[in-house]
Amino acid sequence: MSDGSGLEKLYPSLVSQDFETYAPAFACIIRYGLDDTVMVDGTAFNFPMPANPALNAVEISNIYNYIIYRWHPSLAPVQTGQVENALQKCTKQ
Amino acid sequence: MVLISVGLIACGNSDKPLPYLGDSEEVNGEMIHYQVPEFSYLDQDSNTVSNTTLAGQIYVADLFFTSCPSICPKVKQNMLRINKAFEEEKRLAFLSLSIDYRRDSIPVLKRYSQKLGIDSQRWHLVQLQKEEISQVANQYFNVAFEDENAPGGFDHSGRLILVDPKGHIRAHCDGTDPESVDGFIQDIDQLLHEVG
Repeated sequence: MSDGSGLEKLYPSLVSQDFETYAPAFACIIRYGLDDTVMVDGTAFNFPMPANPALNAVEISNIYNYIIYRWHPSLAPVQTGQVENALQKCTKQ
Repeated sequence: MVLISVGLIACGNSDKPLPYLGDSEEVNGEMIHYQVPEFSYLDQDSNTVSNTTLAGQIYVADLFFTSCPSICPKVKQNMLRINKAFEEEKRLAFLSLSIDYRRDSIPVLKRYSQKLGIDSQRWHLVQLQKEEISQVANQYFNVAFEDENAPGGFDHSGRLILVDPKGHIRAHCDGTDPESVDGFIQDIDQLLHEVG
């Protein structure tokens, strides 16, 4: 939740190292949602994640960078341009 | 101690009975308090949940939908906290009313319930029909409406409502706010003492 911990088997943790596996797909997942399984801390999370079509690249960058600064300092923060590029390559648009 | 003092701030003098919320009127010298109208839904196990099946119990009601990206996760986290605080309490139930009349079918509610790890004998998830959403929301002192610009397609309030065994609304809180929920937990405790 606000401490990044997720909720039961419904929402995966953002704190987990496993977040880094999914970090490259972050922008697409936030914008278009995900109807697939993510493995986090040994649990399969497969309840569909809702899309957030109203969030723009700046907002998605801010969310990503917040998570990175707070829990994954080893990852590089992103710039808006990178998120814009990533969004253009999402498979689900 | 922290819990108790928060409760006192949130609900005043706990020796006083919980108020009856909503419109009351005097009929032949007797006060008639607002009651949630009779209802009957199918829950995530396809079992009927109605004012009859909940007779003798008090319950916490909320509005939500399973694909809600905004306030629902926070509200559900706080409801899980309430659930845990009264783990052994057989007289307490939960009624979560989904306003997503398109997607939140019984199988979806069942999966959600399993992922949340809740006991379906005690915590009922039900789907409202499109035409009853605003009316039912209103019955539980909430507001809900479809809004294509809102995250997830619906706007709704995150209020938790406490209903007594006769269908009277006795307390409410902001389900997104942990402190407000602390006071609400005290209110539930008080109502359980009242119903005996």
